[in-house]
Amino acid sequence: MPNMRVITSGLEFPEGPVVMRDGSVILVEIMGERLTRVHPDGRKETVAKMPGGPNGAAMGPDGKIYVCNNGGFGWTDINGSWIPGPVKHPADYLGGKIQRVDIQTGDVETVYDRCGAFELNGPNDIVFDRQGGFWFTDPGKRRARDADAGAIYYCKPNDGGIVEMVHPMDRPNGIGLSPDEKTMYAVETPTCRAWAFSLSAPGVIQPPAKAYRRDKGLVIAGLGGYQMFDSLGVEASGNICVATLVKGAITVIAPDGKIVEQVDTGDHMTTNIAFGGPELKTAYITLSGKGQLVAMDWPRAGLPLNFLNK
Amino acid sequence: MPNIRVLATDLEFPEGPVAMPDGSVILVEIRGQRLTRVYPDGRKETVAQMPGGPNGAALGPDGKMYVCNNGGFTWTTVNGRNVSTAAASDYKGGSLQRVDLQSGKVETLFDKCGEFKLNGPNDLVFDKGGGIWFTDLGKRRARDMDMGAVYYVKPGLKEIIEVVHPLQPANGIGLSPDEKTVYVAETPTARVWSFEISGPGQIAPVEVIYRGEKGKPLAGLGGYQMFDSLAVEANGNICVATLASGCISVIAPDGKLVEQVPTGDVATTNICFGGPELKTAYITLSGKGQLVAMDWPRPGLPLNFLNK
Repeated sequence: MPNMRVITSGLEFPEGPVVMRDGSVILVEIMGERLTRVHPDGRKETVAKMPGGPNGAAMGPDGKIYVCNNGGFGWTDINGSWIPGPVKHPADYLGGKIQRVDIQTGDVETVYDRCGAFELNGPNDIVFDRQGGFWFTDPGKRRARDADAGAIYYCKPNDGGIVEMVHPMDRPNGIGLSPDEKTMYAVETPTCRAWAFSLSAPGVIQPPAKAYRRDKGLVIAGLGGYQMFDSLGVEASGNICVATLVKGAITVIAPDGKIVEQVDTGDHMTTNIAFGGPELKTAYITLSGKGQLVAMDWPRAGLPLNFLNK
Repeated sequence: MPNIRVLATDLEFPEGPVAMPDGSVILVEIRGQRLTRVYPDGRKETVAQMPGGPNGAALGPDGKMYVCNNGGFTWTTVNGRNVSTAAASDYKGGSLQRVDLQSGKVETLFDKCGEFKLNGPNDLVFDKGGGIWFTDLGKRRARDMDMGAVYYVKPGLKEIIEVVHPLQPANGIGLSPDEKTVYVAETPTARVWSFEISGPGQIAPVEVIYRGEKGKPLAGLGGYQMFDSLAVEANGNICVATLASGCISVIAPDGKLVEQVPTGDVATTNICFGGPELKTAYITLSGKGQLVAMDWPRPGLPLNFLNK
């Protein structure tokens, strides 16, 4: 792959990259069950052990890294790549949680493990709004014969409580906010669809006037063929850049749903993208099949993230 | 819609149409919980009461109508049309049944496969040996859902095997003209999978694409569309009833999209072929509650025990 620099290898299913101001990248290793800091020279340092399945991460208003923990996967080696699936024994699943990590001490604290009557299943990706509230996806867990319905949650600022905002969805994964924070984007894995939800206020969804069923948002894009969406990063332009499985690419989708481009990455299990570097024009991408964190020069700048870049 | 003739109205979620040699169309009404015959003049006659959720139908070698029963749905109304949601409150499981068309008697052949109950049998097709391939959509519950599956009942109809599991909710099913391929449409993903048949109820292994898929993803529509049931043309094209966009999507055996024929109903659920040279398409419009007919540019594939 031209324009691709391997920052580090040997990562045990990397995800949730957060590009820090000092140039290091903090990310999770789902199979490795840890929060890891990757230094620019490729050196890896464990920030915290995170039993279960740390799946997504974002910098919070308090300087702590907030982590979606999916409770754990079972792993199968298929053609040299570790593929996540249902846990092999029920006791291996530790339950879904939102946690926060003090990156100086490595202390891990659970913030939420349920919403009302229901336990969280498998939280995946997370984004903070400028008020300090955050949205996260929960694709649910798959078991041998059945699977949870997926959901999107909103957590109010200052540990103000958790609300289930959209349920059911088909395994929602990546989540992000438009530059003006009036739209929340969530992408579904098996259906390879990108949904846009109108926000009438922080944490408040305004459903569309007319929907096919009782959809609370609109599908802005659905890739055909056999591809699936994983996590995403947003550009300053408002484009959403979605890690695309099977195809092994980043799919760039304009706010009106048009496909701008697909940038091949060479890994079927391309799982996430985050922006950093000068002018936020470096894309850091987690290649989970190869176990690598790579960097690519990006033609357009990433969107500054709350509490991280601004 | 030009070229659409409404044959019957007020059907309570029609599905599983079978164009009979006498020109009538037998179909199920899922919400109506019955097997119904629609005469060419539009008159409807109940063939059998079918509690639960009769979902798909095919004529068997014995002249009986074989029916996939999904066990029943809970129903709601969205924008004036019937919409199925989770399993019915009195849901006890799904089954494969058969109906004597003269007496209306219904008997259950299978309600489980090995240790697992059938969840939501949906669509079925007979191979020339008299075996049955059928899909199980699974059921949705408030917080979770079953994986989809494909089953096969061996000729003689005494033995059932699970051939493909898991799938996303599996809906339409059909055979290629040479019966060497079985096609399965997945609902939420709007994908058609093809599986190479290596023997009765057996599929040939495929090279791993990504994570253990058992077949080939033949086609996947983009956008916001979902697949329901299907029928095959004589040339091998697969015609899939398509939800949300409200059309029949015609997919060539190589996976290319030939055309999408709009039907005017977002809940277009199934298609079958009949009439002279099998060039009449009978389509169930489940949002409007109608059975309609359209002249079709290419003939349908003759079905075992129905057309040949």
